[in-house]
Amino acid sequence: MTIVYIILGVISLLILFWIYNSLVGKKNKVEYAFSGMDVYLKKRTDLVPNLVASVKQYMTHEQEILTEVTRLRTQIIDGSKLSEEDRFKLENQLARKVAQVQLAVENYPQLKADNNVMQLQRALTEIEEQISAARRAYNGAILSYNNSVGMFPTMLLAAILGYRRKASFEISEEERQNVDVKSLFNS
Amino acid sequence: MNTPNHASQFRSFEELEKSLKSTIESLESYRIKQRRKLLLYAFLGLIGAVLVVYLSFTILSFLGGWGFIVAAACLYPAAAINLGYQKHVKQTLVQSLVNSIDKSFRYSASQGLLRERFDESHLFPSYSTYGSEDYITGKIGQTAFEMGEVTLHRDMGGDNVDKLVFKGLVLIADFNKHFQTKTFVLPDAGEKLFGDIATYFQSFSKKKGELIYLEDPEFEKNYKVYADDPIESRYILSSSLMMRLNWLKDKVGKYKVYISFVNEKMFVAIDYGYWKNLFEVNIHKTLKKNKNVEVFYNQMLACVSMIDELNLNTRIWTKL
Repeated sequence: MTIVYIILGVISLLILFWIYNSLVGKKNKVEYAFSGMDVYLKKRTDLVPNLVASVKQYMTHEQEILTEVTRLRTQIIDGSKLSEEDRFKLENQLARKVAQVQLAVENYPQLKADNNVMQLQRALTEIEEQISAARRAYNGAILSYNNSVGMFPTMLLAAILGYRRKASFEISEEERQNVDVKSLFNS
Repeated sequence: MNTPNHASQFRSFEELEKSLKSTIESLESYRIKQRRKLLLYAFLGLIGAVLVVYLSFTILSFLGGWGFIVAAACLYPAAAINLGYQKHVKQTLVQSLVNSIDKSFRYSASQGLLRERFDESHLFPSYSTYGSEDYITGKIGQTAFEMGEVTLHRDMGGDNVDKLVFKGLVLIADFNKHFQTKTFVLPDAGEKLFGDIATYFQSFSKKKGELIYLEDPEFEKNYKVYADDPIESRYILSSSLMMRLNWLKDKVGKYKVYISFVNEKMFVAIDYGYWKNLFEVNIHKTLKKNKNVEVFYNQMLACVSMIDELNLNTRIWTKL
């Protein structure tokens, strides 16, 4: 009988180790995916001053948007203590404003003829695509992690370890809508 | 299945058939002529062979075993006619098919994809013999591509027959984005049959990198993705490209599709999985209503539409 208890004890321990390792692995994957995404988000933040500097002397009607872009960028850079959710919100707002500036460029022939601006446009378009890929990778890791935190029996150990559900990086309904070019040019 | 809109700019096979009618008709009369010639030679060869063999056993016994050599020599012209016919039809008909998609595309029945170029794909690393024919090359917009039929065998050792590893159409095209790592999109037979259990076991296969789960459920049913870098693989496999790959799977039907993204190129391999050639011409079969021509055209069109999709995106990226 003792042997049976020992075998059961060993099996339980092995299952516990397996659950523990799987939870830690998933948490690490989330952190890795976040750091991957962070690199691209920072790249975009670094490109913003160049964009603003290149277009501000021509874009007389869009000064408000440009100020907003600069404000959001500063908020992101200074916000080292921001929660992930707040950071994602700010990043989404910045993405939308940058897209508005990019669209407004179409209205200025001088800017369209400027090689630097066009190069910047292409770089920003590519960085947006990279951010989108990184966001999908991050959300994939989050889904797997949240499933473990919310499902039995992994949820028991997750609760003991203090693992909580994490927010995914989604685009809000407002940001999902295409930029309204008409309202942009009327502003 | 949603077919992307711009694919409709290419003609369907039914539409193409009308413009190919005169080519097919002239090839058909050529076939009938060549077939008559072949049958005549074969008949004469056989009569001659039987006669020589018969005589070598009776009055001309000194001929001995030479009788069989004479018989083979009599049948040689028939074989030459058959080969000549196949070459002529392939070159004329496939060149017309290829040019119906784009006038600048070039086709060669005897040339093939270079082995080094194919090996770059890393799709089938373990094979011993390589063969390639039916080479097509061209450029759509800014995207250069080449494709050809590839056959791979593995030596099974001793007297065993070589095993067929792959036989099918391979496409190599410049990809429109910069990337450094490798991404593999392989056929997923497991998930359809065994669902989640298959996915669980697939995650143990690390040969081609980490198993990546993507958001498109239809894509997940059709393929499994392995990659060195999960972010870069998603950068490559955008939603529109996933949709296009689903469309490709739907288009090629029962055949397996293997795709890799390596060295800023995209490799697509469509496996027919049997010994038959993709574009087989039989002198005894009519060229009219030949299913082979339709299958070949549709697969080529599916590949070319993929290139078209890549080209549409090209101009907006930094890779010009």
